[in-house]
Amino acid sequence: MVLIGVVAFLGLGFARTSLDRSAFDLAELSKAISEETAMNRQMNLEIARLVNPARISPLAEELGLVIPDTTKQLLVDLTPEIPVVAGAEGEGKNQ
Amino acid sequence: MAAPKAARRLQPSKVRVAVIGLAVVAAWMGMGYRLFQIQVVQAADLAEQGLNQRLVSRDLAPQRGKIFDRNGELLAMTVQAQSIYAVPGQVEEPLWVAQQIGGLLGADTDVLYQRLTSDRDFVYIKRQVEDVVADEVLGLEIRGVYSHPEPTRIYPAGAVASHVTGFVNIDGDGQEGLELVYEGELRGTPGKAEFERDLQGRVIPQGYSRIVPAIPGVDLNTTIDLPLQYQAQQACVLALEQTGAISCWVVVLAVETGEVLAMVGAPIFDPQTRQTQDPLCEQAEDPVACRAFSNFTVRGIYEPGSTQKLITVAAALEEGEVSIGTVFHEVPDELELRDDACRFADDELYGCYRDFKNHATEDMSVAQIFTRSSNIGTIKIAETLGQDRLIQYIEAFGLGSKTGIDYTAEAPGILNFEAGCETCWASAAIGYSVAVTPLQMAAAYAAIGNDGIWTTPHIVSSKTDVDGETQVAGMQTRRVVSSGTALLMRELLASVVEKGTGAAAAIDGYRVGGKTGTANKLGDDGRYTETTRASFVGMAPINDPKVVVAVLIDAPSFDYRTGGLSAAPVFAVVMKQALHRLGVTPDGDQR
Repeated sequence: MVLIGVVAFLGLGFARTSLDRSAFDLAELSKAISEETAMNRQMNLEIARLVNPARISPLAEELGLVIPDTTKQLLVDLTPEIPVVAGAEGEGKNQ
Repeated sequence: MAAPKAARRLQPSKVRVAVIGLAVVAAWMGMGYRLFQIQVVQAADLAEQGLNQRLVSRDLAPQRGKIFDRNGELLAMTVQAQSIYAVPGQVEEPLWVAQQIGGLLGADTDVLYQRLTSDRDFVYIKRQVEDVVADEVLGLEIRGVYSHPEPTRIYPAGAVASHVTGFVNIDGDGQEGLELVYEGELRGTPGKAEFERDLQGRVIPQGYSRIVPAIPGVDLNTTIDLPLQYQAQQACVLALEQTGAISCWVVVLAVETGEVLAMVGAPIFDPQTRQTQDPLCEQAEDPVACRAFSNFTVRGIYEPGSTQKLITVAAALEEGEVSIGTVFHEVPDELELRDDACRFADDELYGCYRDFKNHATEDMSVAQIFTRSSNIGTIKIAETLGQDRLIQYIEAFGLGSKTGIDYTAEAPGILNFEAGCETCWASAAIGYSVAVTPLQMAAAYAAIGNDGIWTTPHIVSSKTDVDGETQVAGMQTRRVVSSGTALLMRELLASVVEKGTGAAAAIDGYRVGGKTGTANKLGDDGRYTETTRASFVGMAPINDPKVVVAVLIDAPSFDYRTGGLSAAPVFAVVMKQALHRLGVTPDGDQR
C-alpha cells in the first residue's frame, strides 16, 4: 500500500510537471503564432505597396509601356459555311 | 532511613528535561496555532493577496478594420510599429544622444535635446516607426532610451486614395473620410486579459486566467477602382499644371448602381504624414484656405453654370411644354428681365443675361439651344415651366439636399429663390443662383443615364466582420423623369460633344454625351469676377450609359477658362480609362 501510494504520488507529480511544461510550450507557440501573424500582415502590406499604381506607373513608363487605349473588339462570324457538294449541279454525277 | 528522603527530592536533570519538553510542546503548539491561523482563519484573505500580487490585467487592443478597393486591393490597414521613448533622468549625455538618434530618425536635434533635458519622467522621441528603424536606435544601447509596440495605420496606396479613405490621427482615431464615417465599426471592441504571472513575467500555467478577446474592427469593401482613381488623379495633377488652376476635382459614378468608382482631387495630400504640397496650405495662416484636405466633390459648393441646363430642358420636356424640335423665334444674345439691367456694366442692377458668344437674333430649336448652350434660349425654355415647376425638378434631381453618400460633412448645396426675387428663376435655369457639389451634378446626370432613375451614390459596397459575414449596402432610388425624356436628353448631350461646345470630350470608339459649364466666381465684394469655375459632366456610352464623370476645374487661367477648354479634356482621359477598366464594348465610330 505504501509502495502504491508512493508510486501514485510520484506519478501525479510527473503528470503535473508535464502539464506545466506543455503549458509553457503552448505559450511559446502562441507567441510564435502572433509573430508569424504580424509577419504575414507586414507581407500583405508590402504586396499592397508594390501593386500601388503610383509606384508601377512611373516604372512602366520607364520601360516604354503605355496605358492601354480604347478596348478593341474583334467580331468573329461563327456562322458555319455551307459546304459545296461536288456534282450538285449535274457535274460528275456518274462518277 | 536516608534513602526515602533522597527519592522524594526531584533530580535537576528531570526538571530540565521537563522544561525543555514543555518548551518544545509550546513551540509546536505555537506553530500549530500559527499554521491554523494562516491555513484556516486567514486562508482566504492571504490567498487573495497572493493572487493580486500575481494577477496582471491587460487591455487587448482590437485590430482596426481594413479598407479595400473594389478589386480587393488594400487601401488602409493597421500594423504593429515601435514608438521610441526616453526617460530623461536616465540619459547621461543628452546632447550626444540627441545627435545620434536625430540622425537615425531624421528628427530635429534641438527639439530632441530639449525633450531629453526636460524634467519629465517620460518623453516620446518618435512614435510609430518601423521595426527596422527602431532596431537601429535600440542597437545603440543608449541608457534611458527604450521602445514599446504601438499600432500604426498604413495607407499602401499613399496619396492616391487619400480623399476617399481620409486619415486617422496619431492615436488611430478617424479624423476624415471613411476613417471617420465608419470609426465605430472600424475601431472594433477592446478585450481584456487577466492572468497570473511569475517573477520573470511568464504566464503561470494552470493559474487563474480569464480572457475576453478583442473583437477586430469590420473590414470595408469600397466601390473605388484604385487604378482608375490613380488615372483620374494624374489627369487632375496634369490639368493643374496646364491650366494654372487652383484645384481640380473628379468624381466617377457607375450609372446603374450609384457606386463611386473614383473620387479624387488635386492638390493631393499624403494620409500617412498628413502633409500636402499645396502652396496655399504652406502660405495661409487660415487653415480654411488649405484646399487639399477637404474633399470638394462632396462638400464644396459652386454655381454649376451651363451644366445645370440639363435639368431645365429635361423638366420642360417631361412636362410637355417643349419638344426637341420646338422653335423659339428671335432668340437674342442679350436679355433684360429688368429694365435697363444691361446698361449697368458693373452688375449693380441684376437681371441682365447674355449668351457666351455674341450672335444675331435668330430662331433656335430646343436642340440648338442646348447644343450651343444659349443662356437666353434656356431662359425662354424655363419661362414655359414657371418657377414652381423649375424648383420642383431641381429638387427632384437632388440639388439643394444631400445625396446621402457615406462620407463626412456632405454639403446640401443652396437654392436661392428668396421671396421677391424677380430674376432668381432665370439665374437658376442657367446655373446661377444655385450652388451644388460635383457629386450632386454627377448623380443628376447619372439619373439621365439610368433612364430617369436617380440613385444614391455610395462608396462602401459591403462590410466584412470577424465571422466573415458580409453586409451589403442597400441602394435607394427614385424616378425623376420618364425613360423617354432621359433618352431625348442623352441625344442632346451627345450633340453637345459631336457638334457643340464639348468637342474636347470625345473619345475614340464611343459615343459620349455631356455638357460644359463655365460659371464666373463671386469676388469678396459679392460681385462676379472674370475668374471662372469650369466644369464638364458627361456619360458614355450614350446608347447605354455605364459611367458618369464630373470634372470641376477651379480658377483656370484665362486661356483655359471655359469648361470646353479645361474640363472636357480631363473628362476624356478619365472616361476612356473608366470604360477600359469596366470592359465596356465600344458603341460608336472613330472620331
